[in-house]
Amino acid sequence: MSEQKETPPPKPQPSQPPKPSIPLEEGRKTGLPPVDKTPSMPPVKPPKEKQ
Amino acid sequence: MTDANQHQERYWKELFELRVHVIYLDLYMQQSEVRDKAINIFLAVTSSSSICGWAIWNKYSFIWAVIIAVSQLINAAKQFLPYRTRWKAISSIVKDLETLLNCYEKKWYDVAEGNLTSEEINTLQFEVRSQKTKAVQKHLGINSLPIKRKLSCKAKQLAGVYINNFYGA
Repeated sequence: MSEQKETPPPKPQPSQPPKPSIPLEEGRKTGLPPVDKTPSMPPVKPPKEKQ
Repeated sequence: MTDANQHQERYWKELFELRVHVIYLDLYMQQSEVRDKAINIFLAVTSSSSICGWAIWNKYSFIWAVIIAVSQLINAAKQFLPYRTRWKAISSIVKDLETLLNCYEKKWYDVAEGNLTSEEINTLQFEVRSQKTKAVQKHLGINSLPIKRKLSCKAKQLAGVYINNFYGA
């Protein structure tokens, strides 16, 4: 009697496609160029405390 | 960047990026306009002078034949060239983004003067980002916008001049 190999059960399909490990830049998504260097921010007062 | 002002810094960067993108798209539009004018001038010149040229320079009849063929081809394909659809879309995007920029640059005062909490600043920053994405997707649709490095560099430079003039950074 020949041994019949059992086929492995099908893997459960993920409900959502896997997310890319490296998030796309916002600039690339919109077709706009990424902005790498920003001028330094002028002096600001600290943000208001949350009440 | 300290923990206290990290949200203000992010908001500042978001505004600068928006300024760069508005200038970039404006330059893009100008370039498309120049290209369109150049094509129209070429077509006008070739269509009016080719017959005359054929008669005068009979010797170079092959060159004139090529010019006529190219101009006919351009004339037929002109309406399908991608820059024309982009041009219209970019014009609408620039209008939307300029309005957005004016609105959110006005709010910079409250951000810089400490009138808002970190949470409120964070919300504002993501409002800018999502509205920008919406405006681009609305007008550009499935069309792509190839990135032009030269225009991008020029836009950054011009945005830097603006910041220097108005914020002295």
